Amino acid sequence: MTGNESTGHRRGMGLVPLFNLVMLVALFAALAWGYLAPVSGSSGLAHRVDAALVESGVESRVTAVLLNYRAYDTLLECFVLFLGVVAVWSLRPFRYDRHDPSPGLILSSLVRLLVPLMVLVGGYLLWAGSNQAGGAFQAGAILGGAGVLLLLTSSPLLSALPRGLLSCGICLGPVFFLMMGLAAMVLGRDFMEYRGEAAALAIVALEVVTALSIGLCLAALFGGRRPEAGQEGAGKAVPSQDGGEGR
Amino acid sequence: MSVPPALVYGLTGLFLFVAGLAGLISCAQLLRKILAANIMASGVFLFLVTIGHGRGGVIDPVPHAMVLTGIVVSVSSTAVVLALACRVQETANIHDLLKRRAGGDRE
Repeated sequence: MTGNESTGHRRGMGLVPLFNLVMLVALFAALAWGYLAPVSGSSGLAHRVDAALVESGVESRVTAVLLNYRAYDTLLECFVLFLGVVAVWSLRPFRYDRHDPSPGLILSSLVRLLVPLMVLVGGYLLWAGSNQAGGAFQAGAILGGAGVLLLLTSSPLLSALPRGLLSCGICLGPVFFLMMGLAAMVLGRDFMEYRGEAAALAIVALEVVTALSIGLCLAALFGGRRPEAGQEGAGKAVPSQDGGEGR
Repeated sequence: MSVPPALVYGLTGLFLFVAGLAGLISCAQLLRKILAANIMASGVFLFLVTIGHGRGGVIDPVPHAMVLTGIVVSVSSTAVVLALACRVQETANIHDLLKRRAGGDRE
């Protein structure tokens, strides 16, 4: 873990790195052999995806896979993000020094210009997801990036955001996903089985909510600690002695 | 004869995976281990996307969707691991301080 240990290990042990190198080269050779070996009779799932695209409710195949055929994938991913935020928040916040918490005039005005633009681009990507490249993840990543920018410049916008709203937004993704899946069951289909007319609507709703939730989760993960209760609803900049990223 | 790009991408993905594995087992520092794990993940993503490109020009969307999910999962696991590494660092420093203080008292 510390530097002393590693140099101590390296000194006087020439055999172990050599062994490692040989094993790694062998592993690479085995993987490459597996990759280059000719495969017979496997054409992937492309044809089956295309065949069912009509009743999936979207025209983009990746979106159809993510939110319809393999919705479990996306559901569990939302849960992974949620659990990640919970895990990060449940650790005791660590202390670190940041010498200059106040951003300069240029940086803060640039962020003020950029963030609405990023929200716009995120919205466009979300909309584009139904028939071309794009979708909830890309939009969520852009929104998360906007959140990271706001965090880095300790924007007063963040401290105006009530803490409950943040928690709700983070929970919203998995909960909404589960509710839509259960709604499909209520309507007489299987869990998360969306077909036909209703599927388009369901997928758009899922995408919007998932993108928002993913963006919030990513920004919260970057924040690294739970915002303190004392700052709830504070309308002005946070007194930032330890990083200035409270919300 | 030119090398097909899919071959280059696939082999690069495999190389990144193996290089990341090498870093993971040979670097002692936590931060380097985290970076190495991320490099491994990038290799896997590149490889999966290449596989999805398929033989015969048909693009298989399923691996693409898996990579999209994988990227988000990788980001969140990295965040958790970084938070844990920060805690480890802090605790290690505290132990160092305590040890030093104990040593100073004895002198």
